[in-house]
Amino acid sequence: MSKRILVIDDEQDIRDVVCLCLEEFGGWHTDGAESGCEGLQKAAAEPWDCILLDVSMPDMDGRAVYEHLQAHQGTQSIPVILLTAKVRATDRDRVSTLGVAGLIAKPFDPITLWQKVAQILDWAT
Amino acid sequence: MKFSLRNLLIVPFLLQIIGITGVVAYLSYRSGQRAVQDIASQLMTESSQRTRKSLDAYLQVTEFVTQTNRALLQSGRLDGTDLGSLQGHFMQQLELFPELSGLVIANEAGAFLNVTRQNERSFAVRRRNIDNADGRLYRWWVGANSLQPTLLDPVGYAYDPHRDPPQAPWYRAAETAPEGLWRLVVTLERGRNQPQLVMVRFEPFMTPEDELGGVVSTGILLTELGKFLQALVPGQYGQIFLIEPNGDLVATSTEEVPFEVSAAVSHAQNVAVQSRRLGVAESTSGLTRATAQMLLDGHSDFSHLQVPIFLELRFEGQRYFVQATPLTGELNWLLVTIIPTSEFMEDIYANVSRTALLCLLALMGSIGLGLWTARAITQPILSLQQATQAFTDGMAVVPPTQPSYLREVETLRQGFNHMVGQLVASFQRLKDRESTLVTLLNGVPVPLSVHDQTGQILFLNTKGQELLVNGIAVADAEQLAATYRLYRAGSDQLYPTDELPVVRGLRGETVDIDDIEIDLGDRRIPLAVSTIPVYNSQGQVLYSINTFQDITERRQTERLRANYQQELEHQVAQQTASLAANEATQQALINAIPDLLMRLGKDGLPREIYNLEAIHWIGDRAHPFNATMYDNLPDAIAEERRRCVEQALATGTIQQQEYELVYEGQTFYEEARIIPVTQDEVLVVVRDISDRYQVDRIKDEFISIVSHELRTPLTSIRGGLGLLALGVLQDRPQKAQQMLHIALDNTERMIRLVNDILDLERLASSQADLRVEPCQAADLIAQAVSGVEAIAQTAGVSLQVAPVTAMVVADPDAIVQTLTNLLGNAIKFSDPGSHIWLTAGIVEVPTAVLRIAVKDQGRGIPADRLELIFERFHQVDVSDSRQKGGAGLGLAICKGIVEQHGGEIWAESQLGVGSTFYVTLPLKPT
Repeated sequence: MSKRILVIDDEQDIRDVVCLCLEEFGGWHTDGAESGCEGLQKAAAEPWDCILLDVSMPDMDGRAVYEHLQAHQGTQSIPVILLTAKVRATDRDRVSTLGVAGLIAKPFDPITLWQKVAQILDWAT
Repeated sequence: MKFSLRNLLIVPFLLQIIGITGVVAYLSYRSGQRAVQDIASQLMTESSQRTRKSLDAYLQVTEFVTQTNRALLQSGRLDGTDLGSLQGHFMQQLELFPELSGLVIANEAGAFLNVTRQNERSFAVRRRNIDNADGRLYRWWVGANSLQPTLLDPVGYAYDPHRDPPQAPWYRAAETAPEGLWRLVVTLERGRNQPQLVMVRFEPFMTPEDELGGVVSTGILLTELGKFLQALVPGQYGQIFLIEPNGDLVATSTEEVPFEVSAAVSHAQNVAVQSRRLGVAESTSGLTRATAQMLLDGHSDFSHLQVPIFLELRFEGQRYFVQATPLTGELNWLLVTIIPTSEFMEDIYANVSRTALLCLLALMGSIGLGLWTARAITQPILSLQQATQAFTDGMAVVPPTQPSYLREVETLRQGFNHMVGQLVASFQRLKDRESTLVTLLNGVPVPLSVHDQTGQILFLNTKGQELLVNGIAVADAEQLAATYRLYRAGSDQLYPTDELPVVRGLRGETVDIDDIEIDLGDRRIPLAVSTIPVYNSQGQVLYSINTFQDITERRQTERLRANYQQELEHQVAQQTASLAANEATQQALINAIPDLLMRLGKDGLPREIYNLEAIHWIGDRAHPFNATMYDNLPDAIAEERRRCVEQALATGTIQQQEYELVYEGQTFYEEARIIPVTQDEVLVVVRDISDRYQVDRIKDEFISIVSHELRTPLTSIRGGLGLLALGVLQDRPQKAQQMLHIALDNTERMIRLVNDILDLERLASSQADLRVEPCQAADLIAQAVSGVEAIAQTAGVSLQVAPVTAMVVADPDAIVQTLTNLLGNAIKFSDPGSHIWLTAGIVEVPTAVLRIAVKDQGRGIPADRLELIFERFHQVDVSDSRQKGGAGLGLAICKGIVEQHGGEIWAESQLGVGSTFYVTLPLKPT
């Protein structure tokens, strides 16, 4: 069975690119969520093997979404990879303490993305 | 009405005395009058009676003598024929009885003898010897020694005694009157030419043979009777006269002869009695006449009178008592006595006058006594009164009072003296106190005046008198300023009465002024006046006490000082100008420096501190010098600070310390620079750099956002192109195309972003090369509208435009960009089917500007965001920008552009209804 990956990012284009990348390279099933709320809903509604989470979202930033995911029993074990455009040391510090599975900086090379995700998924299994 | 004591004592007393005396005098006068009258009448009566008695006696003598002669003749002792012895006898008798005037004998034979008294001791004899004579009647004068009679009528005349007077001879009458007969007869004893009336008492005598011997008579001349009466008259001015009832005078005490004395031619006439008689009304005495008239009083004659009568007669101003009584006896004569009242009254009047005088004296005496008594009473009282008056008038020495005999008055006087003594003593004490006070006040080295309620000066002390050399003038409050010539300092304006300290003091104010001047003619003296009101126990102002000081010297001193001060200040100013400049510069520098400046000693204690409020001071702001700097810092920072200070002092180089300070829950960033000044002191400059941090933070954030915003499309571009480059999408041409589009779109997005950022930066740094030129607003609007028409259409939003023709001075591209941005936003946030309006117009706010409004029916903007939306990167809802494309810079750029043009941009909105964005631009000046 192919892995299911949820991409939570408020940028449509980014979602499209990421989903396409993961589909093409990994052959995984992907779905996108426009906002943190939607993402949580979807995360709780269906089983996911990995969640790609944008850090800077207007309504609920990635950190909050992650905490929600962790709080929720159904979703707390799903590995989460953060996508962030913020590159400052302080920002990095803030998220590194969260305990996420991985952190990818934007812009990213699609190969790098796929590799990282695959890595996480391997670990997961 | 007040009465004087004296008058009160004297007047009633006088009135009483006079009244009583008067009444008594009058009454007694009246009774006296009556009494006098009674007495007078009594006297008169007595007098009359006396007279009558005398007269009776007188007449009785005649009778007696006649009777004696008759008896002698009848007894033979006398021979009726012997005329010689009869003559001697008669003469003897005449000598014996001076009352008689004459004697007569006539015998039957016709002899006649008449011896009459002529004067003292001489007689007249008339004899008719019938014996040997020729029968003629001869008259002889016989002297006292009855020797040698002198023949008076050498030729006698025929005379018949029996027919004498021929009409009614007495001889015949007597013959037939055995008891005797009284008869008036005319006698010619003095001669034929001197007839006289004589009252004769005839009595016939018988011879011893008891035959009629003859008639013997005794007679009284009426004049003699008159003389007799005269002798009887009391006093000088009285009268007694006898009158027949028919009014014929008989005799009168006046010298008047009561009968006709002129001899008649014919003998018969000569001896006619009746014709010779005079009526009383013919009397030569007016008094007699008047009396007779009054007695008559309407009666025809005197026979009808109610006798006795007592009358009062007023004749020629004299008052006479008149008494008329009839004689008793045969002769029914009326005896009328007239006595002037004064005769009677002389004594009485004398008495009366004496009495009156005595009364008057008594009156005077009692009045005098009364006056004296009154005086005795009033004098001491008056003296008391005078003393009291003197006392109340304020005389120091009271005139001494007279002692009085009256107990009460004396007690009063002593009491008065005592009281006066006490009062004088207490006045003296008061005076002493007053003089002490005056001395005190005069000793006061400041001119002082005391004014009464009307403003009049009651007291002016010595100093005051020296000042007011012109003396005290009489002036009430109204004229004070004018009278004393008080002016406002430095002007010729009379000091207003209402503001005069005296007047204000009298109103109860306490005053201190020094803006008053007094004009003494040659100079003006400025005064400082203080006034204090003095109240009585009822709170009314009694006096005002003023002190007025000559402040000429003070003013001069002030002026000098001012000048000096001015000079000094000028000098000092000059001197310190540069110093001040330096200090000012220094201070300006210090003030300009928004940092804490502290001169710190090696020990850590501050020596000087400036701008303490510039930073957040942990320690006691009120006593910053009490603790060391290190005590006022958290340990870690203090440690570092100390190190810096030591380092600075050691190396002589400036040390720097940046740190984070937590103060009252807030985090601040400060920078401390330690500058060594001397070997022991450093200058510590501490600056709050939180702003900088914030700015840095903002910049970081901006950079972060910008980088984020750049990285986001880059991610899409990198991803898309990466996938394409890997060739994994060869089999999926749609996907490949999609990736290409994504890359292209995001490239465009990046370009826009970069442009926007650059625009914003240029605007912010005012390096925006706005090329302003006059342009038509309508054109600009039209351009913007045409730019967004397509988008509007796509969005299904209708756009309505109401432009205006106006010339503005603006950069056309910038304005178009702004309008396009606003319109774009409106379209972006409007739902399909809604409307957008763009209206433009000229408004006066207050100057005329062009105002453009872009109104939409979007969901509106919350009120608290209306200003924030014009900030950078701010959006109402970030998600919108992501969806609609944009970095949130648009409105910020619009604001920058509009404000660069000198206009304004703002938004008004109602949630759920819509928003309107306004832009104003200045019009091109005409």
